[in-house]
Amino acid sequence: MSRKSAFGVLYTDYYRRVYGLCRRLLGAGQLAEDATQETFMRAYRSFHKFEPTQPFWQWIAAIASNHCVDLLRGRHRDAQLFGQEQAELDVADDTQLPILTHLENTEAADRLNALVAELPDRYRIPLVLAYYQGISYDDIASQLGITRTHVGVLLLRAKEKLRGALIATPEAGK
Amino acid sequence: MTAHPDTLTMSMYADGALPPEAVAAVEKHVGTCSTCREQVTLLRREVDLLNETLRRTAVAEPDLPALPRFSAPASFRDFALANLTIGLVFWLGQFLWKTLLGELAVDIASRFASIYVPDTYQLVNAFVMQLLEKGTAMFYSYLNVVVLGLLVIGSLLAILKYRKNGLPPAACIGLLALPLLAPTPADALEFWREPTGTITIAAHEAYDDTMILAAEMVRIEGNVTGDVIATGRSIEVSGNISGNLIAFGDTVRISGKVGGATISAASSLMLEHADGAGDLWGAAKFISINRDSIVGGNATLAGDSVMVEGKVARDLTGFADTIDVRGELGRTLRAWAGAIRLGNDAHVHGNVTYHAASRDSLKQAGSARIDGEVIYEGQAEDFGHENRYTTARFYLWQLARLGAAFLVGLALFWLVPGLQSLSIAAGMDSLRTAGLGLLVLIAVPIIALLTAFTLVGLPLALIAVAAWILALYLAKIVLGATVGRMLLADREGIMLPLLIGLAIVLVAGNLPWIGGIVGFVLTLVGLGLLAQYLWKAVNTSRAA
Repeated sequence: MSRKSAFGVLYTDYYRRVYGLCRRLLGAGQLAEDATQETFMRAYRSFHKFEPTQPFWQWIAAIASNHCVDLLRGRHRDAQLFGQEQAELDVADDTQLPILTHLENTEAADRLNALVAELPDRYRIPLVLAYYQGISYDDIASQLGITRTHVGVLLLRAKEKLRGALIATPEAGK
Repeated sequence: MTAHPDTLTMSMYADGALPPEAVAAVEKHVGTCSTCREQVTLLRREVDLLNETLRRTAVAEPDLPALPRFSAPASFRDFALANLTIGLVFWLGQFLWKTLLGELAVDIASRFASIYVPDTYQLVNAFVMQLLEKGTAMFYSYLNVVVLGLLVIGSLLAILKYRKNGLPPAACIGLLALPLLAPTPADALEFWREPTGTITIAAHEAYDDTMILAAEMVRIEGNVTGDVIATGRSIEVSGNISGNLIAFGDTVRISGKVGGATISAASSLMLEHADGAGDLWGAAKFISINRDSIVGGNATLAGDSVMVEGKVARDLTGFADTIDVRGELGRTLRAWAGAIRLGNDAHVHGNVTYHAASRDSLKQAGSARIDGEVIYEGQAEDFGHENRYTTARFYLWQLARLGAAFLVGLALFWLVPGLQSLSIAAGMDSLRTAGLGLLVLIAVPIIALLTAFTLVGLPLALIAVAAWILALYLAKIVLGATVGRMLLADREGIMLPLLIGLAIVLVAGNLPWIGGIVGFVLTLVGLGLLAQYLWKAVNTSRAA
C-alpha cells in the first residue's frame, strides 16, 4: 500500500477523534475543523517520521494538541495563559463539593461536556490533554511549559469548577 | 495518625502523578485513614467518569459534518513530477506532430512521389534542419513554461504565507503580476534558414551569437564569436569562428579559423589553409587536410580516403580504406585501414600503431620519419577477441554503468516512491513476473509496429517504443532495488539496498558464459515488476 492510501485510511479512521480533541481545545466550529485539517496536513508531511510500532493516536494527538495550544497561546499574547502556580494555589479550596462519581443519563454527559467547553482556557487545556488525549502530567507540563505541580493545581481547580457547576444544575450530578 | 494530605496531593495521587518520594507518605497515611481511602476511590472514579464522558461523545460529534476531503499537500517531488510530465508531453507533442508528422513525413512523402531515387543528402539535410529549428524552439518554449510556472507558484506561496500577516491586497496583485515581468529568455541563438538559397556572412560582418545556419549553400566569410552549426549542400568557412563548428553537408570546405572543435559529416571534407585550434572529428567519403592547414588538437577521421598533408598537433586516429600522411603529426598515428602510406614529407613524432590485413599494409617512403616505434596490431577483426575480463577499461566501464544506474535509480524512486514497495515473493511469483516481462518485451514493439502502419498512429508508436526502451533500462534498476531490499530487509532508506542490488544485478549480467542469458532473464523479471506496478496503479486509480 502506498503512503498516500495508507494515510487515507488513517485519516478516515481518526478524523473524528482528532476533531474531537481540537473541538474540546478550541471550541466547536470552523476553527476546530481548520485545526483538524492542519493537523492531518502536518502529519502527512512528517508521516515518514512516524514509527509504526507506536500508537497512531498518540502521535497524531500530540500534533493536534500542540497546534491547538499554539493557537490558544496566540489569543493570550498579552497575558500568561496558565497564570502563576502560587496564585492558583491560593484560590480557596472547595473541598466540600461532592466528587463526581457517576452521571444519571446521557443528557447529564452532554451537560458535563458543555461545561468543559465553558471552562477558562487555563483549566480546559490541561483537562482535555489529561482526560481526552490521555497523556501524563509530565508530558502536559513540558508541552505547556509549566511545572508538574502547576499542572496538578490546574487540573484540581478544573475538576472543582465542574463539580460546582454540576451542583448548580441539581438534576445532573450526584 | 499523620495529618490528612491536602486536596492537591490527593488529586495528584489519584491521577498517579505524585513523585515517588511523596507517594510513600500518602500511601502510609491512606493505609490507616479510612476517610482518605474512600476519598481516593471517589477521586479515581471521577477520573474514569471524565475519561469516559469526554471520549464517548467523541465517537459521535454532534456538529461534525460529513468527512471533509483530505488533499495531500503538494510537495516539491510532486511539482518536479508534474513539471517533467508537462515538459515531456509538450516536447513529445510538438516534436512528433510538427516535426515528424506535420512536416517531415509530408516532406518525405512528397519527395518520394516526385523523384525516383531519393536524394539522401536532401533528406538528411531536411531532417537535421527540422530537428534544429523545432528542437531549439521547443527547448525555449519549455524553458518558458518552467520559469513561468516557478514564478507563479513562488508568488502564490508568498501570498499564502504573508496574507495571514496582513499583506495589503495591492501587494498581492503586484506579486501575482510579477510573472508577467518574467524576461523572455534572450535569443542568444540565431537561426537562419534558406532551404534553396545561399546564406552568406560577408567578410565585414560579425556576429556574437551561436548561429544555426541551414541553406543550400552556406558561406561564412566574416566573424562569429559563438558556435556555428551549419547544414547544407555546400558549406564554406573562410572567416573566423571563435567557438565550435559543426557542419553537415555534401561538401564542407574550411579555409578560415576555428577557435574550438570542428565536427563534420560530409561527402567530402576539405581543410585548405585552415587553422583549427581544437580537435577535428570528421566523417566523410573523402577527407583532406592540405599543406597549409593546422589542427591544433587531435584529429579523428573516418572515411574512404584520408589525406593529411598539413599538421596535426596531437594524435591522428584514422579509420579508412587508405590513409595518406604527408605532413606532420605532433604525437601518434593510430590507424585502422586497408593501406597506410607515409609520404616523403611525413614526420610522426610518436608511435605509429596500425591495424590492417597485413604488416605490409604500411608503406613508408624513404625520407618519412617516425620518431617512435612502428607497431602492427594485426587485423582489425582480432581486436574483439581479447578477453574483456582482463582489461581495466571493462571494469571502469562497469563502474560507470553502476554509478549511472544508481543515480537514475535514486531519481526514479524519489519521483515514484511506490516502486519501492515492489517485491518478488517466491519462486513461482518470480516466474510469473518474468513471464509478464517477456510478454511486455515482445508485445510492445509488435503493437508499436502495427500502430505505426496507420500514419496517425505513428506518434503513438514512437512514444510506445521510447517508453519501451526506457523501461528496458529501468527494469534492471527496479529489480536491483528489489533484490537489495530483500537482502537488507531491516535497513532504513533506499541508498544502500539500491547500490548493493544494482551491483549484484550487474555482476550477474556479466558472468562469463551465462551472463547474457542471466542478464536477459533479469531484465524480464524487472520488466515484469514494472508492468505489475503499472497494472496495480491503474487498477487502484480506477477503483478509487
